[in-house]
Amino acid sequence: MIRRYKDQRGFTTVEVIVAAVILVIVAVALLGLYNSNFGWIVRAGFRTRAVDKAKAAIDSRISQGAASGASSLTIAFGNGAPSISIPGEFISETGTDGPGNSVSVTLDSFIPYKP
Amino acid sequence: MIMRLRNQKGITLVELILVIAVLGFIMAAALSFFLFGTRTFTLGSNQARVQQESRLVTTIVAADLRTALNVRVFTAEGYTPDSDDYVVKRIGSGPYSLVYSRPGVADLTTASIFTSMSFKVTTENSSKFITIDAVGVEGDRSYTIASKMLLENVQPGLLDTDDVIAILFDK
Repeated sequence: MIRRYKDQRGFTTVEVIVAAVILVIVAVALLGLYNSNFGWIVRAGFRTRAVDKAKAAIDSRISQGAASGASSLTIAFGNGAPSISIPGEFISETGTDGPGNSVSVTLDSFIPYKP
Repeated sequence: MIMRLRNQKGITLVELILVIAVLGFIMAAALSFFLFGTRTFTLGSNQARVQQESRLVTTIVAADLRTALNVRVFTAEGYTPDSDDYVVKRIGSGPYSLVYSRPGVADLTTASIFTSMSFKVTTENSSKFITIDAVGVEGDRSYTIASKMLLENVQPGLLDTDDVIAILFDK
């Protein structure tokens, strides 16, 4: 027991300081996580606005009506049942937001053709 | 046991001061790390809250107004909703909040954080649109939302109107 306690050489001051510096460097690197968390929240806000813009564009297209019935939306029921085909137009609108319009959202919809 | 206790050389004052100094530096670094963390957390939660409340405004209205029937808009107080009317209204005199009343369901109210909130009825391609603009502020964070939606089943007679404070409709 006594022998073991006698051999207490411990750390030198330089070693302790080096360890502290390494700790600080690692901590600073982890601070980046906070920043990126905040960035992602803000980005979610840009995405919400981009979705709103795309929705508004889709609504605007719906109000114009389909230009033709060239494409058609087909609903198949399977099991040999007859399928339903609706002539109309598939539309796709993109909304962008954020600095340099960095966030973009594309929504798809279908407008039935009214002859 | 006695041998061990006898060998008490202790530490010098210089060593003690050095230890306190090194510990002080580490604590200072840890404290700034902590303070930065709480500050960023507050910033993030303010931003999240203002965005959430703003989105509530457009989501509430978008979900039911799109397929609403018999839409009526009012620019001043003094309207009397029927018992089966759905009512979307702006309350307060800045900051505003939005209240959505539905028959048989508890009212839905956003936080009172909007420095501006406007509803507007416009015509495009002979269809009626409702535009909602709102600016929410929470702490030093702000968020602007603009939403425009087509009224699918609106009856003729709804006129283009700015400065709407209440929208009444049936389902």
